[in-house]
Amino acid sequence: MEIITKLLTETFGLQLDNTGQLVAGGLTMALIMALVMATCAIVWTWAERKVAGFIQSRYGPMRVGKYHGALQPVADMVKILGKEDIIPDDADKPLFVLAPIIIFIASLLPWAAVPFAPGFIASDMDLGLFYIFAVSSGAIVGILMAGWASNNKWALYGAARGAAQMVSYEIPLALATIPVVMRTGSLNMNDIVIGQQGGIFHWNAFHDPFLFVAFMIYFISSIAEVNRGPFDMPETESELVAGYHTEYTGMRFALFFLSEYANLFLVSCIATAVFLGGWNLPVGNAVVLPGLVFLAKAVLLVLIQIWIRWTLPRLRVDQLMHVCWKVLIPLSLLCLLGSGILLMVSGEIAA
Amino acid sequence: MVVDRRDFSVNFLIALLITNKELASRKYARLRVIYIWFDAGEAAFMAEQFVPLLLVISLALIFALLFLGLSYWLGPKKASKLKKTVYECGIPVRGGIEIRFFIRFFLVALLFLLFDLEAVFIYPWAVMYQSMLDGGRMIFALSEMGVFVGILVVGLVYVWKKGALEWQ
Repeated sequence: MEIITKLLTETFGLQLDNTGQLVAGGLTMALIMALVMATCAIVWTWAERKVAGFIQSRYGPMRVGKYHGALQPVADMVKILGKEDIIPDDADKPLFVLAPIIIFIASLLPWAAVPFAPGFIASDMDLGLFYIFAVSSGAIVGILMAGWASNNKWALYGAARGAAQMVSYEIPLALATIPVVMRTGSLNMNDIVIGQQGGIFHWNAFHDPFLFVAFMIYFISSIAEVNRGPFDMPETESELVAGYHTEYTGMRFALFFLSEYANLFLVSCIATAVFLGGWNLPVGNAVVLPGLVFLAKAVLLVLIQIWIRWTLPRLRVDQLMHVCWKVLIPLSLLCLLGSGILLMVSGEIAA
Repeated sequence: MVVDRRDFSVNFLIALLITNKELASRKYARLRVIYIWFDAGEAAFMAEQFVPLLLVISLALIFALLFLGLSYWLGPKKASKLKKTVYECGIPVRGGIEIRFFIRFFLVALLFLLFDLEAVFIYPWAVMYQSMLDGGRMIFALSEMGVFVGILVVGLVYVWKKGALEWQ
């Protein structure tokens, strides 16, 4: 935000008062965020098919664009724009129309608090981490809305499953970040990243065993939270057609799809910022190309998630709930206790 | 009145409406009572954090509507009766959405309310934990949350033993 306002006032010579600076800077920042997010989401649809192809010993998209079907996502977007938008007669029209918009907004809002580089954050708010979890769960409302409004039993089943799953996995997701908050003493995303300066063993994930377990819990729950394999129960093709977006066509379907990939990237970015040191390098205190370092880590996490999806078979619903309530939640509570004691003991030694 | 920066309030809205100078004028004399509660500097600080959010929300809405508008403009509109029925694997629709739900979905919703609220209450404690340790209130800092989480763990064990977590 500071970078942008500085650029606007100094390079472009705009004369702005405080409010003007705030609005202009915020707007530019929000626009950049939205474009980055949309581009990433589109690129991920290509990367996913490519990686899936390699894992299954085939090529994946090859035709559109010169290099390995690089323009495939663009072709898809153009195609989707030209598709008919069908709303079933039995559907609850206002809710049906509103659901994809809500999900899209819920997937874009959390980006406001993701710190890509020092000073490059739309809203450097003190509630950062808390805000991200709060707004991203708005997607659950959208999913239930979509399932209900479709007036299709498969969509409704998918929505109920999706809501139950996301709601359950939100608890270990939130609990796993609490040891980090305890260590940093702040919910501000910038503070959390700055607190991890000084090499790989100062990153939260590798700082102590409890935080490492917390990182693992976060990673597993985040895959379930974005409804991806092996936790893609809400959209099991073999049982529920396509889950809550069965009845959606054209651009409305694309909004669901885009949000899914935006969320995939979002949870990776949050994991990078909260657990993997954000823009900090594995060695030393220097800050070199912070944005690229951050993106490299996030991209690595996304690729791991794609790899997991195309490697592991789908779980059953009972197994899913078992993992969440009987393994992850008790484990994350133990992590909480462990980090609390560790902080207390290490503080005593330091004193 | 000194307000903690971390206070979550609606101060930013006030900041959009009132500035310090206006508050000082007689016209807004009645608002001075508010001024005690909503420090203008604090309010400006809140505005800096939350105005970008308003912008992001409006931008997301604009993007979504733009996409939908484009596809409405470009896409064909040849609706037919059959096309407008709901999907049922290529056969006429059998049964409506008056389906029965597994009771566990309801139980999960209840448990979620309990445990998510718990997580929300743990956050402020986690933020203050280090400073409580530095202040020398170590045993208090840990045991306080120990009691709170302990009660919920007892609840979890009870639910577990009752079989509410089994999906069969």
